[in-house]
Amino acid sequence: MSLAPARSRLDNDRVSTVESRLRRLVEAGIALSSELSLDAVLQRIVEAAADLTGARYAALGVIDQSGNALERFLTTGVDAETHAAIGDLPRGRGILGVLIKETVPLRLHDIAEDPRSVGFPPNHPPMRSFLGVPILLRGVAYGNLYLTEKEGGEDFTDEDEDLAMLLAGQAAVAIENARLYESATRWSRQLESLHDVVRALGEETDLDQLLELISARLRELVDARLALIALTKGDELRIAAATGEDGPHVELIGQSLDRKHSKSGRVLERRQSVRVNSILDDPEVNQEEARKLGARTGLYAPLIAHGRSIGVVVLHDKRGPDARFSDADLRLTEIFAARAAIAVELSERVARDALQRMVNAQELERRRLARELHDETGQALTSVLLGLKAVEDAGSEEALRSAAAELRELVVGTLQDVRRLAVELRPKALDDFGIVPALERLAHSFTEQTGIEVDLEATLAGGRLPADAETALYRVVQESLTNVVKHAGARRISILVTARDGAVAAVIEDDGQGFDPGSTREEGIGLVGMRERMALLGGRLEIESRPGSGTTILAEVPLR
Amino acid sequence: MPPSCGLADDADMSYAVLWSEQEGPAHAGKLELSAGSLVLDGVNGSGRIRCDLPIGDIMALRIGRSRSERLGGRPALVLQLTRDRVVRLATLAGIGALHEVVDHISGRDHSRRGVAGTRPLASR
Repeated sequence: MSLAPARSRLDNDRVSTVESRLRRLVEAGIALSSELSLDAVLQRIVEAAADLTGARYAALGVIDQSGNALERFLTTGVDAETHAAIGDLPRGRGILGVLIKETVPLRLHDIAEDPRSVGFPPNHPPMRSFLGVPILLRGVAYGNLYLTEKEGGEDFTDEDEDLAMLLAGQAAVAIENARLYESATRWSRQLESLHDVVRALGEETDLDQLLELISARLRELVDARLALIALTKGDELRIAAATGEDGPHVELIGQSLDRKHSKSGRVLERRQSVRVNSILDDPEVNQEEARKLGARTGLYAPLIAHGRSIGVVVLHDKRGPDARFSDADLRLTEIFAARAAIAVELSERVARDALQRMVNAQELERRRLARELHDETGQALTSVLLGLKAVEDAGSEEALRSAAAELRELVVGTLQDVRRLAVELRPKALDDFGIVPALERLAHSFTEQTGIEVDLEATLAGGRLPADAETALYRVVQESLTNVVKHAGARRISILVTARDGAVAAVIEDDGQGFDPGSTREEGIGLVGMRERMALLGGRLEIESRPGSGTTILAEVPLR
Repeated sequence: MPPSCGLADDADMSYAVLWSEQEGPAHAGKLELSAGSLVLDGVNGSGRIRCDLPIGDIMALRIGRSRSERLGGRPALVLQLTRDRVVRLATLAGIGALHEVVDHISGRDHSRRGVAGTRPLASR
């Protein structure tokens, strides 16, 4: 009889303890669901585990994606001062390493007694009883939850282990969700950057700009300190784009890399990407070049076009605690290197096409000129000869006057045609007086012939422009006027020539029917040649037009 | 811009021209060399004008260089069409362009080749 009340009290205490634990467990679960950041969730889990199991110290280690070391280590029970005194975070050796390798719960009466223990670092508080459980989800280990120094010097119980396993399960879900989110965000950023690059490949014609965009986006995605793109030029390997954390590194552009004795050169030769975890330890790295760049680690990917190595992408020093690049970084760099190779190839093809077009145009012009001289001038001179014969054979004064008058008209017409031919080949006014007088004559003659009014306004502050700029602008205006006649159906044209901010620009505006630049091929309306003329001088050509609203062409050339 | 301006071969097969029918005023516009015809499209003082000249209707052609035949001071291609219709056209840009038009017309109708052509003083 006397034992019954005592058993009942014990049962009651136990029920009370279980109820209390259950309540704290529910509270912890609610608290966990309200946290957004992974570190905050894991910290809550560590604290809840310590609280529920009566552990003085608790820690949670998250294994990095390589599976060999800890990327995060959160603790409770150790104050900041002690933390600082202990120093670096554990690297996953000893008992912690056992749990990383063997994903099963581990309970110890005294850590020090276990032969696998490697001891504690200096200033570490003493710890004896130990409970460690793996953080597992669908068979994948994400880390471990460690509890030590159960209150009252007791050992951890089965119930403690169950509770720890439950909390470890919650930690696993939180870690996986965070990694999935991080992965989705990374993919989204990569896709966005690739989209930017692909769009630029279609729109941007300046290779330097394209390569700068590619290096900048890649550096950002991989989180490297420095990204370089070097291209082969004969026997040289020259930096074409360089981007750092603070933007383009223009001082590096144009610098040559040692092609024979450098990692970049080897990568070019082997046509294989490679990661270098320690620049100092790699005998293939040109240490002098690396020192100039302050490089500690590297990632190299070749640019390959049609099986030919045309350059190399180089990344240095991943930011963060570990400067080494990963396999994922390497794969991403290869994708960007492929885009860079396309950009270089496209640019070379465009340059070749432009050169071919120029040669073809020159040949066509010569053929036309030969034909004009033969069929027009030649025939006219033959006619003069026949006319002279008519003068010689004139039987009367009246016949002589008539033959001479006919001959004069023929000579006048021929002279006019030869002058026109000379002007079309190269207006003398352009060489003798410059762009403005040449355009004035062009405008005057154009209005006289077509009836389309031309207003020319030039605000160049005296002096001559460089000859190549004058020629290019004159030809663009001339071609624009021809286009207006052919396509615009305009009544008035305005031409404005101005010089400002180190550039000279011609704006040609008409009141014609306009067109939709988005749906009209530039080859069809002679804009390609105009654009190329401007590009050759580092200038630009812009067209603004829409159906029913006329067309404006801006041609601008920098004055160097 | 008419839709045809977007055609790939437009740059090769069209010219900025002046043209005049009979002794009428000159129009400025585009000459398009299409299969079987010459299409003239442009404006004059009273609005847009379009003129389709079937190559089969061209009886004779020559390049007129006399003062009265020229357009805008330029030698003109004089096309003698059926029903006593005469059209003159002069190209505004491009050395030798007028000869290309002549070639096109002649090449389109082989029966005319060698019969009609450029005869500089024939009209006088």
